[in-house]
Formats: sequence, C-alpha cells, structure tokens
Amino acid sequence: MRAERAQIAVVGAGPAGIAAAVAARSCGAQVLLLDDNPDVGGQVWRRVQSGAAGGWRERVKQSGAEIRSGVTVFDAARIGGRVLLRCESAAGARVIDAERVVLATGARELFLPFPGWTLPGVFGVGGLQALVKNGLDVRGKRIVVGGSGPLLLAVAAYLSERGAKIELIAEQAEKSRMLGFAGAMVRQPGKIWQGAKLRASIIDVEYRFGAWIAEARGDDRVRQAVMNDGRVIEVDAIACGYGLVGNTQLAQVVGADVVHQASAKGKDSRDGKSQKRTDLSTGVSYGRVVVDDVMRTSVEGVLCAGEPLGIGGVETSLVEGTMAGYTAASRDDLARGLIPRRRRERAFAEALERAFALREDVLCLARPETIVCRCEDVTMARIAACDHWRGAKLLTRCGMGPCQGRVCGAAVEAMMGWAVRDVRPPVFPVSMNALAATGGATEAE
Amino acid sequence: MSTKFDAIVIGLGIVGCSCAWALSRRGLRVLAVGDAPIGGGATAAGMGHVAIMDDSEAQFRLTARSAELWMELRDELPPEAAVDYCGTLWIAADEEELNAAKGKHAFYQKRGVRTEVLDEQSIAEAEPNLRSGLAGGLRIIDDSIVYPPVVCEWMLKEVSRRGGAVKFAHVTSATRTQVWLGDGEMLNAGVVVLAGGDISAKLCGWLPVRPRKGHLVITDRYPGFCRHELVELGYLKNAHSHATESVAFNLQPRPTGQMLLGSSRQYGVEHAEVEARMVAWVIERAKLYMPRIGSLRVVRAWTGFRAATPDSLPIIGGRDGVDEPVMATGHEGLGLTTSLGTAELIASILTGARTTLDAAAYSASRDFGGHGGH
Ligand SMILES: Cc1cc2nc3c(=O)[nH]c(=O)nc-3n(C[C@H](O)[C@H](O)[C@H](O)COP(=O)(O)OP(=O)(O)OC[C@H]3O[C@@H](n4cnc5c(N)ncnc54)[C@H](O)[C@@H]3O)c2cc1C
Ligand SMILES: Cc1cc2nc3c(=O)[nH]c(=O)nc-3n(C[C@H](O)[C@H](O)[C@H](O)COP(=O)(O)OP(=O)(O)OC[C@H]3O[C@@H](n4cnc5c(N)ncnc54)[C@H](O)[C@@H]3O)c2cc1C
Repeated sequence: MRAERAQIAVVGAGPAGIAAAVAARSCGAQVLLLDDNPDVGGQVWRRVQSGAAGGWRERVKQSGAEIRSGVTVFDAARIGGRVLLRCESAAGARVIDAERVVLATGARELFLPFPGWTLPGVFGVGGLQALVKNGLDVRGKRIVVGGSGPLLLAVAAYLSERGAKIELIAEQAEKSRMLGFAGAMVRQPGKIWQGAKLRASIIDVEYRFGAWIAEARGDDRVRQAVMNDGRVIEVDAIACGYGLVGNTQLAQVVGADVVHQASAKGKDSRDGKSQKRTDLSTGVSYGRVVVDDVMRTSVEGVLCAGEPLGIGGVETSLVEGTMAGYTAASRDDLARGLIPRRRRERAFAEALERAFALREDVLCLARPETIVCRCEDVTMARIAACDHWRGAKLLTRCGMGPCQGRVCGAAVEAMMGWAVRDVRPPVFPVSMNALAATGGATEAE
Repeated sequence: MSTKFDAIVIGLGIVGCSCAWALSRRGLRVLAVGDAPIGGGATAAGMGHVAIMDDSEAQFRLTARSAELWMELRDELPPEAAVDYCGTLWIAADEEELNAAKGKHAFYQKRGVRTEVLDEQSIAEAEPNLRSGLAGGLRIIDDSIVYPPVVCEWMLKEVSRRGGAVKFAHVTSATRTQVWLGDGEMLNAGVVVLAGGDISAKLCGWLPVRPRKGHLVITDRYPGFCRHELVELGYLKNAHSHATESVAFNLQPRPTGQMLLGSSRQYGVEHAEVEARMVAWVIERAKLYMPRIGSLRVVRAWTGFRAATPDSLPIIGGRDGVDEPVMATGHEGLGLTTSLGTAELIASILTGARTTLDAAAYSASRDFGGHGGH
C-alpha cells in the first residue's frame, strides 16, 4: 500500500486535538485530524453543540484542517525521519506518512472492581453518560453515582436532566481534602468542569464525601447498592468511576518516554518481584507521556497534548493542544507564549488530583472471588498471588483478552501498585486485512 | 542462601522448569534461577503446540516420548494449563504435498502414532474455513495444545514442595558446580544445568545456538472457526531451510475461541519489536489457505526468539572434561513439546534414572559441522 503524505497529523479530535488542528492551521500548515468517533468533540464535547464546544467545533471546521472521523489509528512508527500511522476505518485501511504527529488521544475511565460490579446495570460513569447520549432512556430510573472526582457531578447532573432519579452521589474523598480545593474553585470558578452550574441542577441530591459503593447486589441484574456504611439503596442502575487514566498506548508504541509512578511518594514501581500493595493512599498516577515545555515527546516529530500527559480537564487540553499545534507547525515561539497559562492549568489539575486522591479502602473492595479481568474471567485471588503485571498476565491471562488490559490494566495498577507498561501493536483490535494491507508500506510515494 | 542444593537450573522457561521438576521428582533438591518471570522468555511467546514430528529419527523419538509424557501429565496439571487434544492437521495444497503426507502417514504408522490421511472432501469437512480445492492432508490424532506459563508455575511449585526453591537473578557466569549472580553472590551445587534458551551462548560462548525471531498474532473470539492446529506442509521446508526469512501458515484454536496465527522465522534480528511487514506477511500467507480469515479481528501481535541449532536438534547433556554447565538448550520451534523429553534425559544423565531416549543424538559433543564445538 502506498502511504498518504501529510504535513501534520493529529490523532484524537477532543479539545486537545481540535485546538492543535486549529493552531497548526493558523500557521498555514496542512493538517489531517483523525478520530475514531463519528464526529469531532472527544469525550466531553460528544454531541454537545452549545457553548465552548460549539465554538471550537465551528473553528476547526472552518480552519481548513481535513477532518476524518471514524478512523482508528492502531499503530504508529517512526521510520526514515517520518512518522507512519496505520489506520482502519469502515472504508478500509490506510497508512499516513506524516512529517509531524500530535497525539491527543484523551483518557478513559478508571474502574475499580468491587463485589457485584459485573452485574448487568452496573456502568462506568462516563460509559453510562455515553449510552444516554446515544439514546438510552433513563427516565424514572433510580441510580446511585459513585466513585471519585468532578465527573461524578457532571454525569449525575446530566442523568438527572434526562429524567433519572439520582439516589446518591458517593464521593470517596474526605470533605476535609476539598478545603484547599474549594479555595481554588473560588478563585477559578469555571474550572471544575462546569462545576458551579452542575451543582445547581442536582441541588436536591445527596452528595456525600467519604462514601463509596462497597457492593452491588442483584440476581439477573443489579437491584441494590450497598454503601460502605452498610446502608442499602434500591437501584435500577449504578454508575461508578474512580477518575480517568490517560491513553498512552499509541505514544508507547511509537517509543515515546512514559513515566510510571505507583504512588505520590515518588516511588517508581518497576516490573519486578518487589512490592505488592505499596502505600497508595496518597494517590495513584499512571503512565504519563513525557514532553518538553512545548509538547515535544522524546521521539522526534511526535508531540503529545491533553490527558496522556496527566489528567487535566478541558482547559488544560485546550492550552496544550494549541501549544502542540504551534510547535508542530514550527512556531515554538507562539507555543512558548502559552507556557505560563499551561503551568496554571496544570497546577490546578494537580490540586484536583490531590483532592480526589484514592483512599486505600476503595483499592481493596474486590474480594478474592471478585472478577478483575472480565475478558479472561480472572479473579482477585489469582492476581493477588502474582508478583507483577507481567507475571499476572502470563499466569492468569489477565489483560490478554479483547480489551488488552485497557480496563483491568489500570485497575490492577491501582490495586497492586504495579507498573503496567507492555503495549504492543495493534493498540486497538483491527482486522487481519487492515494489518496485511498496511504492513508493507514503509515509505510514501 | 545457606541451604546446599543438589542442582541449580538456570532459566525459568519451560525447559528449565521441566528439568528442575524432573530432577526434584527424582529426589534432588533443586534451585531454579532465572532473570525473567516464570514462564517468560520464548516460552511465553510460543504457541504451545505439542507436536510429534518426523523430520529425523532423533526428532521423532524426542517428540514422541515427550508427547507420551505430556499425556501422562495431563490429569495432574491445573485446568488453567488449558490442555486440549485438538490434533494437528497438516495441509497438503497439491498432489505433491499429498504424496508427502502419505509418506509421513506410513512413517508414523510404522511407529505406532495414530494418523489419518484426508482427501480433498474430508479436509473440507474437517475444516470448513479452509479454501476449497486443497488436495488433502494428514491428521495427527494425539497432538495437543497447552498453555505453557501455567505449566511452568505448577512445576516450580512442585519443586518448592519437594524442598527446592526459585530465585530471581541474572547469572553472570557458571561452571559445572558453581553459579555467580549479578549481585556478586556465588552459589554451589552438585551440578548446574543451563536452560537459558536463545541466549544460552551468552554464558557458554561455544554453543552453536542462534536466536531465530518469530511473530504471532492473536484474534478476538471466533469459536469453531478452526478446529485443529493447522499447519501447511510447506512449513517443513521453511523450518529447516536456513534462509534469513520465511513464513508458514500455522493456526491454533485456543479453548477460549481465540486463535493464534503464526508464524515467521528470521535470523539476524535482535530487537523484539513487532514488525508490521512480518505481521502482514504472516496474514497474507494465512489468507492463501483461509481466505475468510482476513475479516477476523486481531487483538494483539508479539514476537519471541527460538534457540536455533545448525542441525535443528536440541543440545542436551554435558561435555566430558569441560568445567561448564550441563546443557538443555537449542530447542528451536519445538521446545515446548520436547521440554519433558529433555528433562527425562537430563534426569537420566544426572541420576542414572531410566529412559528410552538415546542421549548420543542430542549430545553437546556431537559434530555440529564446523559450528561450535572443538
Ligand atoms: C468517559 C469520559 C467522560 C467524560 N465526561 C466529561 C464530562 O462530562 N465533562 C467534562 O468536563 N469532562 C469529561 N471527561 C473528561 C475529558 O476527558 C476531558 O475533560 C477532555 O475531554 C479531554 O480532552 P482531550 O482532547 O485531551 O481528550 P478526549 O476528549 O478524550 O479526546 C480524545 C479523542 O481521541 C480519540 N482517540 C483516542 N485514541 C485514538 C486512536 N488511536 N485513533 C483514533 N482516535 C483516537 C478518542 O476517541 C477521543 O475522541 C470525560 C472523560 C471520559 C473518559
Ligand atoms: C513464535 C514461536 C512459536 C513457537 N511455537 C511452539 C510450539 O507451538 N510448540 C513448541 O513445542 N515450541 C514452540 N516454540 C518454541 C518454544 O517456545 C521454545 O523452544 C521453548 O519455549 C524454549 O524454552 P526454554 O526454556 O529453553 O527457553 P526460554 O523460554 O527462552 O527460557 C529461557 C530463560 O532463561 C533465562 N536466562 C537466560 N540466560 C540467563 C542468565 N544468564 N541468567 C538468568 N536467566 C537466564 C531467560 O531470561 C529466559 O527466561 C515457539 C517459539 C516461538 C518463538
């Protein structure tokens, strides 16, 4: 297959990717924007037309960037001074040969296993929101929203607007931890993911700190949520999520440096026989792509912006995307001008992360018989018997199923304190035909 | 480590684990040492096909004896070892290959291995997703598949239960009775066995063992898409030619409904990276036999290194008068199969236990035709 040439290819059309495309176009560069969803917007702006979302959508559409939706990038490689992206879409397979690539691949949810989480009716918070955006009817449904972070509020508000009856929002973090954070919110009120507005629309809902879902009970589907204090709530659904994890797979496959820290104490957890449950109560940070001050990764020609650098939210993604777009278009000078803004956004994101750091209790909810890896039916007991991620994979096949650890990998990293870093292509499942068609291309016409 | 061990085995792949296990079953206190996780190395990368092969009398004896030992072990292994007697189907594309299949059939029959020749129609019935118009094939009825890392773990648990131990460390040098570890520690034992797979020559430089890279891909779940371990007869030419690069169609149904597709062979490549070009080649080859495979989804690709020898036979045993470990290496693409036979032979050499295998054929002192040796 002949590769298609591009000057700048942006992977991911969430806020970071959109901003990158717009910035690079504003410098006159040619831009190809790739995303696996049917439309631009990423996670937060999916099917949202109003406000900032609408503005950026319009801007990118007017920018002259070529937008290709429904395209999955499953492999990336640096060959002969250029970056090859291997892609699949309904129309077939393609190889894109770009001078520079911006990885703006966003984040996915962290889901921590607890007894009963595999029952039908238990969803990830973002997962349930996406289903409702795609038409799932939740009118009159009794839902407990649990886990951690501002996303709980955003989703609870969204569900309640759609007619769901939110029984409780359970935030695992202690209220005392919010104090410093609340200060930050007062200074920058628009910040906490539309926080102020959200609180208003769910003003009557009980929002409890230091609370979490200890168990889901039911027969053929979930019927009850059992809280950590023993309270039992009758439900039709549970939405649970413990924050976000950056999608660093593509960056790892292309060879970019990623740091792993299993605990905020700064202890680097290497694959080894060493630590089991380390002290994680101060927070877990997953792999983060390393960039310089203008978003360049350790691989020449590959830039990165947004959540893969550490969870930062929309504003951070927008600034970093803009910077990456400028740098990709060789206008590092413009990118540099945004360094102070980025620093402020990141400082806020870090405060957020500290405030919502996961407590030990929620990392220990799984019982020995609780399934951790759904693809391969691996229980907590079998994982706990292992010494490190690679050993667990080999001996239990945890993370070896169709999701390739995208779900259980982060959970295991959180629960066991292991670094999970063995990404191999394809980073998403892909047809044999696409692999065969794109494998031969090593240079453009 | 104050305990004195009767034997130290270097390498926690299937060959090292089998040797440690076989020795401990014969009463030795064994220390197994390795620098990778249990069942890591080539063992983690391989396909797990237990195949009785006829390419030489020596290879036949070792694989057939090993297959017997796998059969005996079958009920002892934990369910996660995923043993499945799915049989092998060697595919004959044309009349010439079908004749070869018939020749093999005669060979196996004479030696008591259950096989069956399939014609065009019966191979189509046996494997509906093969393309039509294939000449036929040969079914090896008692070939099986297994998930090797779990077997390794089970074996080492048995070793520990019998007073042995497992240690995670890199070995920097070794003699017949001593081993030095990366941190400077020195360990003594009655005997040292080297089962270091493709990198064994790093400890014993004369070993004519070269890494031979292979690529595999695994699919999502498609239960029933294929029923036997499928191998093209052309595979034999590939495995034995020492061309720098080759690919042969080899497909394995996993008990989960997933399938493993292989495989490539490459000399002279040191990095373990998945090469898109090789993956594409493996898939193109498969499509020649199973056109419909193209639409199946791949969840992952990976690579591993076989320990290749000039005569395609493993190196088992010690050289007289040389102060170096006893060897258990060079198993190329059959080390999962032949691990149990290898271990039986090692135990026989070291403890005098009985075996029907003839040590001379796999001896470290054999003539490698100018490669290695003295
Ligand atoms: C499930 C979920 C729900 C969320 N809901 C909210 C919310 O309601 N409100 C809020 O303020 N924040 C929400 N967030 C947080 C959100 O991630 C960030 O605020 C913001 O969207 C980050 O922007 P981004 O551009 O960095 O990443 P994203 O918006 O995540 O965009 C990344 C895009 O890249 C695509 N992509 C990734 N990899 C590939 C690939 N290999 N090939 C092709 N395309 C690829 C993704 O599908 C996605 O469209 C949510 C996050 C998640 C995970
Ligand atoms: C793609 C592929 C498919 C295959 N398919 C099959 C198949 O279907 N059937 C079959 O029978 N065989 C198959 N094989 C072959 C089989 O996997 C190998 O022959 C077998 O796993 C070799 O086992 P081993 O224990 O000798 O080596 P390994 O599994 O490589 O183990 C050796 C171990 O020793 C360690 N080591 C080496 N040196 C030192 C040192 N100095 N200090 C400490 N530790 C050390 C290494 O780190 C390694 O972990 C396949 C191989 C490949 C690559």
